[in-house]
Amino acid sequence: MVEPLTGTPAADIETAEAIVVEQFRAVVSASPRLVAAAGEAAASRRLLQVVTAEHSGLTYPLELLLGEGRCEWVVRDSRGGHRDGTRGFPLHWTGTRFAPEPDATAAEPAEPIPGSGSLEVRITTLHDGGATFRLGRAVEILTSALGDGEPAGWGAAEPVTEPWSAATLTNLCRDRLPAPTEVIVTGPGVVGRLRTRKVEAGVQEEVELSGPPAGTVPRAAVETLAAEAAGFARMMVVAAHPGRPDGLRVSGPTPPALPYGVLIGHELVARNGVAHAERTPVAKVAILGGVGHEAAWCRLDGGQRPPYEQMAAILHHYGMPDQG
Amino acid sequence: MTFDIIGLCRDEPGAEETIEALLVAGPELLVAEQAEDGVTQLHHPDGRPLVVIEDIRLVRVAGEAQRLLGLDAEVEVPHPVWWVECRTRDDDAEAETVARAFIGALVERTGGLSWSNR
Repeated sequence: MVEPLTGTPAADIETAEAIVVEQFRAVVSASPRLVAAAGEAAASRRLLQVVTAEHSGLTYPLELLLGEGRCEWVVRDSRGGHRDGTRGFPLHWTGTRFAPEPDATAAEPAEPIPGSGSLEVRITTLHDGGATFRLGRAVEILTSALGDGEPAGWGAAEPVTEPWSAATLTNLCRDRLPAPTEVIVTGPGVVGRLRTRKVEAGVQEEVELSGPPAGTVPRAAVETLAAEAAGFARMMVVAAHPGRPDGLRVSGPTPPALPYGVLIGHELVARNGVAHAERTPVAKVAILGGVGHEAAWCRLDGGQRPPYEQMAAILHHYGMPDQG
Repeated sequence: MTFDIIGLCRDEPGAEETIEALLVAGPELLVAEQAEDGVTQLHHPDGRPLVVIEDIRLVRVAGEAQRLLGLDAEVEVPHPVWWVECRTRDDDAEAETVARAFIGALVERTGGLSWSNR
């Protein structure tokens, strides 16, 4: 490695192209230092490269942070070589950043062990943006259905420092409008991120949580979750991510999250009518919620076509180009 | 590689405890504070940087030390806990000694425990 250029005693390196932060722990999280470094990298149009050991696992909030532009995970192996943490191809130090070896190709993903991945849930909610909206309901129904309890806390980085309070969180996000807000949230057995941003119709809240191994979650718990989310969510996607065997992202390429179910909220169902929702092209569709407030819960397990294809068909059916 | 050590303090590490712990770690150390990010740096008298002490945080959420540091559920972590995180370069043995001495002396005064990545 090169000498640090900044004179800081940690093994951080700053160059014209990159901010490199090393963290050699079993669990590497979105610490205040990494969150600040990601912000600094974005502001200065450089890359954040987080270097860890081979055996290090990333928390879900850090995985989400590194999944954004300008952030990369670099793994150092026991012989001092480097490779891309998520895609596996070899990297070398150019003097200003880690870069792929010439003609590097991504490694083949490891075959996932069924049921071993973490359950991953994304819920988007549209608030009208009036004075009375309240955030956090998605987090509360998730910890209740999956973690058997109330959310534990929230904060700007890990460890999260503030006890759970939907009211405090709502005030914080509302006071920051029209600026977006992003916080980390935790609960028993789950951790993830809550983001808010101003949209034309109001304020959009997006909650992404990773929970226990999918194989350990009873189907009834997911059905409860769908019934709860049907009351307010714009959309919910439930999936299993094979790269997080014990809740932490392990290095090496893995297949993407496998979708299990999609809830289409009542606004989208109302736009085309309940009959249209009943014709959603998937194996199993259940209409949840009361009259005039129907949501469509689409399960992708079973059926003739792979879950990805069913997912794409659902989004097409509701006229959505992406996962909205 | 880096060496990381964290003090999980029961009582708030005040100025008195912190200064005492710094004197235990090395009376000749030079202390430089960076006000903007709350980071404190300890330098060797020869000027070389040794240890970074991050901004102290009060963690009022139970279970975070277990989740992030891999501590066993049986390990008793104070709640709430004052989280004091230090890091050093790996290739400077003296830096690790200083960081260990500082956190050790701090936890001795505040109660609680320490964790390190080795």
